[in-house]
Amino acid sequence: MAQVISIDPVTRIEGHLRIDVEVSNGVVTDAWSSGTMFRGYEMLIQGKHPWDAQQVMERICGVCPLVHGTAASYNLDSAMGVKLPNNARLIRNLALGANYIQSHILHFYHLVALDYVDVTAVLKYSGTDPALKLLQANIAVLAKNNDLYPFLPRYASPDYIGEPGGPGDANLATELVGHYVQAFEMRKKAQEMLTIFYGRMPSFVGTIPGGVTTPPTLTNIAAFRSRLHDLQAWIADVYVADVKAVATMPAYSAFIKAGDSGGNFMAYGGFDQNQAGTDKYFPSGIIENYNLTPSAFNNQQITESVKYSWYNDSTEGLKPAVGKTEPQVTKSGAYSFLKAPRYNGKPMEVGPLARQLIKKDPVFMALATAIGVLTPPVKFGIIPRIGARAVEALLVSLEMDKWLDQLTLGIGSDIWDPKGKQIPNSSNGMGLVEGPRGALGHWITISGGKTGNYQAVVPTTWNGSPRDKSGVRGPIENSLIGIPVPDVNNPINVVRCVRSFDPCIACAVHIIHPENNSVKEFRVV
Amino acid sequence: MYVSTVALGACGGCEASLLAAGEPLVSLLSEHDIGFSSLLVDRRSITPSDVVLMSGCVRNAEELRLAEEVARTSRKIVAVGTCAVYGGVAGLRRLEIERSQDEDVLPRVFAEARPLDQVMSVEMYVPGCPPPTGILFETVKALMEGVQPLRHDATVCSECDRRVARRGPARAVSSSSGPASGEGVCLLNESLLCLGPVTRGGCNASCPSVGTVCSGCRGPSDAVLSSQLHSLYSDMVSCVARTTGARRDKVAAQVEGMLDVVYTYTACDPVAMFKVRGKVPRG
Repeated sequence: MAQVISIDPVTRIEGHLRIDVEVSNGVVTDAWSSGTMFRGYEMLIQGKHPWDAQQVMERICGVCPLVHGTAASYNLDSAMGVKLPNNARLIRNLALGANYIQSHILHFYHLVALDYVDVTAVLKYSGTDPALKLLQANIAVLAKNNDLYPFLPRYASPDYIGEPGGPGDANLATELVGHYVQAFEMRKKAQEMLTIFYGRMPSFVGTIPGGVTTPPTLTNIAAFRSRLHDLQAWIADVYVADVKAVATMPAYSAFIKAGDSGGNFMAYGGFDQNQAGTDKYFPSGIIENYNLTPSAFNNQQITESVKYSWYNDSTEGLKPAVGKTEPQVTKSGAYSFLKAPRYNGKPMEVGPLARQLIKKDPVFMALATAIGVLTPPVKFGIIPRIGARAVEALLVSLEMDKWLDQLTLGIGSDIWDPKGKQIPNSSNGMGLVEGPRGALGHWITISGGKTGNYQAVVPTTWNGSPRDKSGVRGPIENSLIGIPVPDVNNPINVVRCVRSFDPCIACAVHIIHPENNSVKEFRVV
Repeated sequence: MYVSTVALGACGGCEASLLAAGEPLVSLLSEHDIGFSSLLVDRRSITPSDVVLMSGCVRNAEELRLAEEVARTSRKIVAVGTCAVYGGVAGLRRLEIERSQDEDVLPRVFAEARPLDQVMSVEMYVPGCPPPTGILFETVKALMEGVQPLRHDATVCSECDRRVARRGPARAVSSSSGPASGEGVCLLNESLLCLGPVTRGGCNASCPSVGTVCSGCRGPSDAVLSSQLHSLYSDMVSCVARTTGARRDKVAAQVEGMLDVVYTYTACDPVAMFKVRGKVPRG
């Protein structure tokens, strides 16, 4: 008999996500992803000065304010007809790149890794590394008090087997937990890089309509580069190596294919390589139904369905440029505050995996081939999603060196186009960027010199979307179908799958969801 | 000692700022225990905690219920971040949203964002959007060690390296945005509405240092908070008039047109209208 499991909230993600899955004969047969937060940021800035958009909209999310602030800047640039100076383009690239690094490190080590190794195996560590022995001693104290937070995953996994190179390998587990601690320091370096040009993080300043506010100098370039080189080395030697170790564990071989979202991928394209923005480091593109030859992306094909979302039905099927945010919480059948964005009517997975499949970077493709992702039947599961993120952190960090080299110094080194100060009486803007989690778009309508309408369609709206008007599931919902749940009391594979998308519900909208009456409930506050 | 983090109507930025403390934070926490923290740990329920870092405003019935439950079971509540202290950007606008039929499933949304101290007693305030990592970490550390955290009572201007020109051009203030000229002079002299003079410092003037105006995210300074004679608006007007040499009545009319900007973070807090002497932040 089918049982419904609710996981509410899913922890170790940003924001408040609720997942319901129906389990029959040990596998997931249906799934519902609900964003249960409503914050109404798009409504907050209606009628305000358009410049406020950058500062207010970046506060949608404290973990990725940078992408929202950057998208808002590009959005206003486009509304004002700004020609972005070269240095401004490079500094925005560098800051966004630094944000990729901090976000990807945080995701793997602090939000995901603990689902894949047995932390209790650390107690059996037999190596001689003094730092790791100290860590072992600390964990032993916690274990004695029967209190392994924050290290113990909520669901212990039955696949924590102790064979060498497996999830329960004591030395491997200890190293990984050691890297969990190191990762805090590495992330800090990436945040420091951001503050060099953008003053502070989170809630940065320093990018404004028309460009940026800090010119490059020898000092700030050197400060940036020294941290960048430390990070490049750590990402290559530690992060990518750890991901490879987990990805090749026989215990997780099923996850190479399991967790596939349905074969549709999308990238808006990101990191301008020329001033006109026509050449991008991450190309835009669309992959439909596993056809790995991408077709061209056309922003006019984006619409948002609200049939299963708590928004007024009159806003069904609108394009984001004319989108409306009209909450209607009395609507029956609805189950999410996320709308269901569709491209050409289809759900699209966005994020590092989508970007790598569209770019076909040789480093990623070689790795994907080596672990068997591309052997038929071609499916892109949990492991490729996590792997793409690690490869991307490395590749972007290497590309950042080139952007630093291209900065020009001295008086007259342009960082701002004065057009950014001329608010048109009426205009439309669009800012499309690739954030760490995927394709992010902001749209503005300026009327009477004020913000008339503002819409943001965020990566987690794409990935975590509910069903659309045709009843087609969103990517996360679809990826859960077929995920093995041998014991309904232990849905670890469900959270592994959900976390592989790095969902960020804070970006969506905000109401916290309380208890419910499902068959099984896992509640963590 | 158990320390916990709770995010109500928040974006997660305050937690992200704390995490950026890096290794020292890990060391500190290894000597204590994490109670609950949905970003970091998988604990199943709210555990009684000695110190709770509560971020975000109260915007709906569920956040109110959660806040009250935590307040009942915990010893010290620290309001972390400008949303918790003053309501923050969520208070920019009233949101009129109908009530759902089943408020267990979808809690009622309040029209106004509420700062924490409107619904519970708060031990300490650490404002900032988000609070600077250093201040947040030092405050947590002090609390864990049972000592009083440092107070940051100076203004942003007092920490800013930009120099005030003897007398700036008598231009009007234009708005909150725009880059500095790069000459290192006070942004008010450049006719940019920088809220540094009326804003609590402790951030090392991180925004003016990269050529951007202070948007007032740490909330009003002690001087503004502690007397009925002061307000963000009137103090800004005086400062702009004095610094730029423009006529006070002209400046007053201009700043009045930019009140959204002056009260970006405090629009829903009574402090913006009536000074509350007790609400002088620590940290």
